Amino acid sequence: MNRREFMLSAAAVATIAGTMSLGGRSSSARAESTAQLSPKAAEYDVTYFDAVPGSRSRDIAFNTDVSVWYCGQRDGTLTRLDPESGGLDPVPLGEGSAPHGVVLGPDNAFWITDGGQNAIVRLDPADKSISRLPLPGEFARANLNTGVFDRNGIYWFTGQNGVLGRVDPKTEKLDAWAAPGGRGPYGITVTPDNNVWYVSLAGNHLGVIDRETFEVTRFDPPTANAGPRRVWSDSNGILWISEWNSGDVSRFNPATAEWKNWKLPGEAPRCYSVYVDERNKVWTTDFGANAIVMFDPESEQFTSFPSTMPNANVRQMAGRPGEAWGGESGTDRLVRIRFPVIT
Amino acid sequence: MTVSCRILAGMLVLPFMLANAQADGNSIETEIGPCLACHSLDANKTGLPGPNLADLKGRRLGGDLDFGYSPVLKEAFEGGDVWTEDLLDRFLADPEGMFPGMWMSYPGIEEPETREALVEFILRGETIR
Repeated sequence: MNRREFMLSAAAVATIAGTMSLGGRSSSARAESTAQLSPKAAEYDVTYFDAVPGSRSRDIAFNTDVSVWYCGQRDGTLTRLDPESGGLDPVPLGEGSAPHGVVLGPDNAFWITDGGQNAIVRLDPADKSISRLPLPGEFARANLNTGVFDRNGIYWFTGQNGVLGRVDPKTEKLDAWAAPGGRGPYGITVTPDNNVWYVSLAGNHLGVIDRETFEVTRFDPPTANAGPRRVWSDSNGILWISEWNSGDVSRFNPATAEWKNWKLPGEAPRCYSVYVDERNKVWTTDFGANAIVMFDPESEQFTSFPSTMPNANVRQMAGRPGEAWGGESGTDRLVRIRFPVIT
Repeated sequence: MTVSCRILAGMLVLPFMLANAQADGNSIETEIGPCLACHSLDANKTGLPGPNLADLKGRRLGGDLDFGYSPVLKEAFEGGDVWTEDLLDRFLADPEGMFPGMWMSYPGIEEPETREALVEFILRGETIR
């Protein structure tokens, strides 16, 4: 039995209070956390699942059944986890593979940004068949990062070495082009109104890609060297961004170009990833605190879920109704946090 | 790429680097590209996602004093070891194998020729912007 369960009794809430200031091309506001911690764990159920030792389990996606699939960046696999039994089924993706990001496409296949093979890899979980779409030669070592499907079924991806691209699954035509600002494109998301947004970690910007011309409109965060690493849209099209350098989680409203930032609790937060659940609660991961940190935009309170092991390094989160999941790349585990489902 | 090529063309080490470059024929600037997404060899660059790599040779592990390192690199700093050609080569082969739990996520470079060229380039402190 690989499954190990822990009921956290040490989750905590940090309250924040702040002031707003407006200015520049887009308005911004910042709230400084005061990190007043108090217990709040009753409504959450935290469970850890073993991944393959040494795999460095990171980005995850869900199949249409109960299974969860994770990228083994160090063992070159996409691995199926059965959360009911804890069973693992690794699928090797090819020589030199180092998968980073994964999403389930409308074709019920997993689409993987594979930095090691410098290719977009498609894995059909039904028969485990694999196909690869290599990047053009001029984009060698693109450092492929993350991908997302828009609402027309087009796959969009980033490469941290300064690359943006897309694939039409019907024709398997892959387009790639140089990103504005050079190196840095990392997280990518699609809003309910079908706009494709990405963030550039080294390029310190948020960008929206014109889906016809591929041109990018940039929006720079109010914080210098904020280091926006990942981005996720809530159900209203509001964007939430994890800022690695500043340790903030930030909110950007595309309709008004307004920013607002909140510093994560703790001495030296490092906000790596962000995911927004169906309740529009914002899940971040903080390497500085070795914790998953949920932010409630309504109350502006943080709830922290420290890992039970050091150096957890959750690099991405995703979810399905009533569940938020992440891969602890530093401990070779996956973590599931359950909460009441909206009915 | 042309800007970086012009920079490289002024370096005496260019023939060595390109001759040794990489088993798959990529230039040194291509091979170091993934590193430069978070790091810099320019000592004046600050506020990066990863530590600055300027003047790395002989520097203590975890030794960019302006960067907030992971616990595992902070521990390495306390150990007092310094970056050498051999250590950097082994690190590039399997970073997380050397420092499990480090914040940087990079699978490593298998080709010895590529690592050799990168070690040479990084420890010379040359700059690609």
